[in-house]
Amino acid sequence: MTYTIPDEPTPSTLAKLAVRPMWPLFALMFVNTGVSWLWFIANSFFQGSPYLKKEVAWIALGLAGSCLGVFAIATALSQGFIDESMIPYLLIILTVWKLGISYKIFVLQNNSFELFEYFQESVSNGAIPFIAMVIIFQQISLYQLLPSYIYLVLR
Amino acid sequence: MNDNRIEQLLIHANQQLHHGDTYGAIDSLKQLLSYEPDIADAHALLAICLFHSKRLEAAKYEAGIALQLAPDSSFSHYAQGVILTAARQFTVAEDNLNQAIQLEPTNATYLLAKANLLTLSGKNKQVLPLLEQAIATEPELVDCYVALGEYYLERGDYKKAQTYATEAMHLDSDDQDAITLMGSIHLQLGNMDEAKDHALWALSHNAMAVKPLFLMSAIKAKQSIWLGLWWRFNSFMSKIGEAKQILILISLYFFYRLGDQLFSDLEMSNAATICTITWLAFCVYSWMGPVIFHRSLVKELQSFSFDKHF
Repeated sequence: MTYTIPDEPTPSTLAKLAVRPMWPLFALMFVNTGVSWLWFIANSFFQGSPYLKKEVAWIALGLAGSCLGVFAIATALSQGFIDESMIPYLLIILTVWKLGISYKIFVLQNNSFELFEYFQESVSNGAIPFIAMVIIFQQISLYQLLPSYIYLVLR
Repeated sequence: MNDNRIEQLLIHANQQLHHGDTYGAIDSLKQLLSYEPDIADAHALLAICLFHSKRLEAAKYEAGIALQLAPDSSFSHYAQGVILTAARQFTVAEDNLNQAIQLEPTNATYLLAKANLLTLSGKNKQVLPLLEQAIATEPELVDCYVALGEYYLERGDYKKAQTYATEAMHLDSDDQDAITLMGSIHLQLGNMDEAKDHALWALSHNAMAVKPLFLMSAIKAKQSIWLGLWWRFNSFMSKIGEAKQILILISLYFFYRLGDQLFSDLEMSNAATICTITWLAFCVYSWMGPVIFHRSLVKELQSFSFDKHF
């Protein structure tokens, strides 16, 4: 039995599916938040990252914040505190919030990925699933598929 | 595993660490700890190796185990002190280093670690006496002269810094830190060729060593405005810590989006375009900066040759 240092990854049998964490971050920018955060969690699991629970906690915080943000905007609009021209500005704050959370998860995952890369001989190229996601989500109009509240949280 | 074998493995790991092979040292110690998990010195040394690999959380954990196993070991206290210094927990770190010094007053390395802690915590007045005490304790230890040289270099006293760098190189002409210190002094004096030669000389001993690579990067940064700008931005971002780093990047993005939206609403499409182009340029520049920097460094290292008069 080898001595294991606590921050070392314990890769699962699906380790070959792990990609560089920059790809889920790109998915946030070019696909949507929902896909990006799901990919972050899956990637952390594939790597056997010791920070998986922390990352899930950050994503839960991100989701809670986004829900609260959308709820606050919707309430303020229905109560007449803001008019419709304000919405794009408020949505920027929501985007910045999601980006901040994603960047924090990226930093966490990047730390464990450097070790994962050291132990693993090769790493999968994330470009292919990334391009596939971009193409697929360009064909799907999420706005029509999801209720507007959920769409705003996950977009 | 007998005591002799354990000692050999510890010495081997220590040598690997000293030669900059941090990963090798970690592997050796893991091998040792797989057989003998209760050796405090191995945990303490592993903590120091992990600290050198920037794995601070794991380093803290290992130093904690070392102290649990041997609460009266000066080396365990030293390891804990060094790691907590890096974690900016100065009060506890100072306590640990004081205990290490108390347990082994003749070890200059512990005094140097405390001097480093005092520098970082801003207690500059106490640093010089401590460095001088370290030299008096172990006059043959190169690290003492390097630390004093670095002390004077930071304060702009290049003459004194050069004296200590020369002394350090006199004691061990192959010591990377001493060579790098001399290179850094030349860089400050504007002798770029000499600085480059020293950086390459140090790198010829270990191409993975951080200090000479840092010196080499500083030289490249001084030679090119654009790379220099990126280097300063990068150094600044590294210094401020992760949370502030995220805050700054997110603020930049926020102001870009805000400007873009505002200009679009005011039907100032040209201003909105400039806003977008500036943001894109920043993204490309910060993306390409490290790539170009890395390539120019590799190119420099591949065309390795000393100056004729070196």
